[in-house]
Amino acid sequence: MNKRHLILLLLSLPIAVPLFTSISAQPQSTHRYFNVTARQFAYEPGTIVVNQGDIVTVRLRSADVTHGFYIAELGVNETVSFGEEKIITFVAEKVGAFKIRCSVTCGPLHPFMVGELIVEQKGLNVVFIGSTAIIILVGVVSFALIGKKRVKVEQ
Amino acid sequence: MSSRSWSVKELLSSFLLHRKEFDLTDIGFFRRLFKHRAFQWAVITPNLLVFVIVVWAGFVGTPVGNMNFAVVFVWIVWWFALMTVLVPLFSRLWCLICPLPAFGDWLQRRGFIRRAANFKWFGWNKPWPSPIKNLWPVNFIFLFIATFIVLLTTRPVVTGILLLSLFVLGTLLALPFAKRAFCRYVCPVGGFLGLYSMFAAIEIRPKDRTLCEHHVAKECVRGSDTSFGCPWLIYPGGLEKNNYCGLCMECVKACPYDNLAVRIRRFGKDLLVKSGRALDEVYKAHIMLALAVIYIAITQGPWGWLRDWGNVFYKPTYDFALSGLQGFALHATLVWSGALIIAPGIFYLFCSASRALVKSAASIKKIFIDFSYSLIPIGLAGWVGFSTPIIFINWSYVVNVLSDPFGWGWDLLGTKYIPWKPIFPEIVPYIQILAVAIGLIYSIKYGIELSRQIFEDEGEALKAFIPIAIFLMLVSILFIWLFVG
Repeated sequence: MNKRHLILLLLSLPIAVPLFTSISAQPQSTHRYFNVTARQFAYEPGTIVVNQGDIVTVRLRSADVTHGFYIAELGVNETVSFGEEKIITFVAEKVGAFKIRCSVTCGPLHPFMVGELIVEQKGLNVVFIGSTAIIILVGVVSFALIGKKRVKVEQ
Repeated sequence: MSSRSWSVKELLSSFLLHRKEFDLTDIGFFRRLFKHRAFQWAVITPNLLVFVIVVWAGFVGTPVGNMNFAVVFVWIVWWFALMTVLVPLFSRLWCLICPLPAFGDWLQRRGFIRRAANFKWFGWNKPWPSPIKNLWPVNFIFLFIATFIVLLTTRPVVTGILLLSLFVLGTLLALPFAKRAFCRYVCPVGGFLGLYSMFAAIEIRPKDRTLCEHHVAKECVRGSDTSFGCPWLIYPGGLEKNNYCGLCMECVKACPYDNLAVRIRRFGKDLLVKSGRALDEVYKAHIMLALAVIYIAITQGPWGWLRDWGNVFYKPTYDFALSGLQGFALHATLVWSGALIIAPGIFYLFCSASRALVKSAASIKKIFIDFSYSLIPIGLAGWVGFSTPIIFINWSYVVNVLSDPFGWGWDLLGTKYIPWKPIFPEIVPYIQILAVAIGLIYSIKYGIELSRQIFEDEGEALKAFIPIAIFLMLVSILFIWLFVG
């Protein structure tokens, strides 16, 4: 291992260590409640943040027409009409950022009606942090290897 | 010319691994296909039929976008295919089959396929005005259209109006101006196809440039008794990059020496071509990068207010909401300033840092222009990431409209009522992350080479590239944040 590899490793550690620490941690379950209003063409609030293992209960209402509340990765699929209220309960089993989509054609911008459920581990969005770490590592390693290649050729 | 022996393994290794360049005209089938006079007509005509259905559906079909063939075909099928397959792999292959300039071509040529005896061009055959012989008109037309993206991608009639307008413009401009002035200097799609085709894995190039230099007749550009010559206003014998080559194969047909190769090559080869680098061209790279970020935020982000701004017909439904026009004014400001000022401005600062780091005498303009080409791979990766969920999430709309293209209640193929259900939604973020990582690697790879072109000293080149590498990584992280943040 040369000096450059060592620098790379050191650079990756501050990101990799908390990442793997959080991955190995056992999730603690909490019951979380959210009031979500679906309207053309958004969910309010647009982002829900919970921890892995949380039991999530969403009280869903519609401000205008019939909308869906669909999270494919967690098997959540519910619809709500105007004036109606639906209670949806699910367990946030998987970590990640999951799109909440409207499953009922609700108007022109329906395909863009997106919300987000972020399931963290101990308060960390590990998918984002992990991906960012990978991107930084990819960038640094590419720079190091590609930069080195030409020098070798010239020598 | 005899066919060189080749194997499928050799072809795949060239295409996927880029071990060596491979000339498709070495394969008899492709050579005959490219040289056949009816080739382009045969691929444009069915596409023209689809185009007619798209425009028709836009005007007479249901106004519900995801139930209308115009919106679903153009903004789901075509867009996905274009940005994830056609451009990265096949350069401007779309231009080969594009129906927009078809009537203009046929009018100018006074026919569909063959060049008649005593042929004379129809129309005034004037050159495009010199002051606008650049990409600035394309950049501004594209930005104008891009401002209406929310309407365009959701209201079939707007898609219909846009496509019909471009078709009429393509035909009308063929009358006063020579050849495909529309494609070269006006078409908003051609602008970004040209930019990203520099990264593509296919090219048309002369096999032997010396032969072209000494050959006086220049049929590839002037035409011959049986061919029209390049309609793209370029000289194929001197081709160095893909930007303005529409792969129409007219030069391949015209060359009496079979001196034009249709090569499979390594990705991004054109990014290192020094000739033709210009501010109008690199501004396209900044516009596309900024729009990728803005569009992902608007159409795939959880920010409903951002979507409301883009929707000029929005009627406020909550206390602090802006009216449709107020929001749209902000949206337009965001799109135009983001693309023309903010994105290039931030990059300019990083270029200044790069210049200061090595105390270079090179002009900041040159550094800005040259380094901007390193944004092409990461920009394209952003668009691949943007386009991936479009098909994975919305595929069922495609099969629905195949049965009922106008939303009139038909069920031609029995697929009208297939329920909406995304396919493999869980892998979408990983495809997006992978695309960004690959884009970053290529951006860094070519960025370092560009830096070596700007700064002669190897140490200076690597040092000067550090700020640009940081910029590229920040852009990548921004994409990652938009996808999984």
